[in-house]
Amino acid sequence: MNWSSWSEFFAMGGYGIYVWGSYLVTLICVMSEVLLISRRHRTLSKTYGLTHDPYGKENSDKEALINTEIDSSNNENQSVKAASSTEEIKK
Amino acid sequence: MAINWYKYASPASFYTLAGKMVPFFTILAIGLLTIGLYIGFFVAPTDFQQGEAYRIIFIHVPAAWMSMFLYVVMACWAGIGLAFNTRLSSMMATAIAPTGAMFTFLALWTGSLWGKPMWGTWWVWDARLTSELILLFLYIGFMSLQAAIDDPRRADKAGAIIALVGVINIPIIYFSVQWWNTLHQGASVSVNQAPTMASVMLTGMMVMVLASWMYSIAVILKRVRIIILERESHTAWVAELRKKGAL
Repeated sequence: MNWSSWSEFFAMGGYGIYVWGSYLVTLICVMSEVLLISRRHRTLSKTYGLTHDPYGKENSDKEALINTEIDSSNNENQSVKAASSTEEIKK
Repeated sequence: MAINWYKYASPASFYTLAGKMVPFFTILAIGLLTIGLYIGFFVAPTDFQQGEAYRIIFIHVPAAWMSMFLYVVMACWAGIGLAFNTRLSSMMATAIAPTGAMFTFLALWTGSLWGKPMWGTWWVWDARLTSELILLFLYIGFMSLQAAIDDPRRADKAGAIIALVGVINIPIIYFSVQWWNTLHQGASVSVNQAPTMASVMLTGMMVMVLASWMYSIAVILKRVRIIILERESHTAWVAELRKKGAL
């Protein structure tokens, strides 16, 4: 074991800011990538009605909804794609 | 091996296959990351020259390797998509770009934080650093160009040209430390020489490299599934999924 205490561990022999600055930013990047992807998935599910509706609130309209969505899906596809890719670029 | 590769060139079958692979690679990534960080912080000893600052290596080297490797893979898929007009290949290229850009940024960021205490500067216009920065611009250029073109198939083709032209930068990054007299050190680990690192440090680093591979595969497969759904939303198989309420 290299460390006799937590404060020694966080100090990293005086290089704490450099070591933890690297690890923290890596963590932030990885987590935002995962978060952005799941958000993009959620947006997609919402737009196309892909998620299962467990309470059956919209079940009566679902068939009609599905048909209209298929017709307009091409246009929607474009806008969703553009929106999600700008999101990723901003990151 | 009797695997029908053409079957998985179809977005519909690849969507299902990728869905099964994502959890597998996610678990591998988390496991390897835990082992790698444990070795990196608790097993690997303090470096006799650099003190504790060298521990940045456990993310700097994996990030830098992934940034170059992912670019080559991205360019390969983009090239295959351009040559054979296979939709899925181009979608793969599009899915790889953001992850590659992230690793490039991390390689530069961690390098900068390592350079300050060791070289006394955050940044120099050294050949290795400059060519890695160009790699970041290539990724950003690829993504911006694709985002700017409305027709996905035309975006694929235009992106493929950038990706293929940019491949020339990869050997430049790799050999920059040999071709020019740079501040950045030469390779500690290479194919035809024994590594010039303590073996515990090397083990920790290699585990972190493996973890980055697994992470990249998981994230890229997840992203390519979303891209498939977005682009194939008009097809019968996606409509079928939608009816079942299954993703």
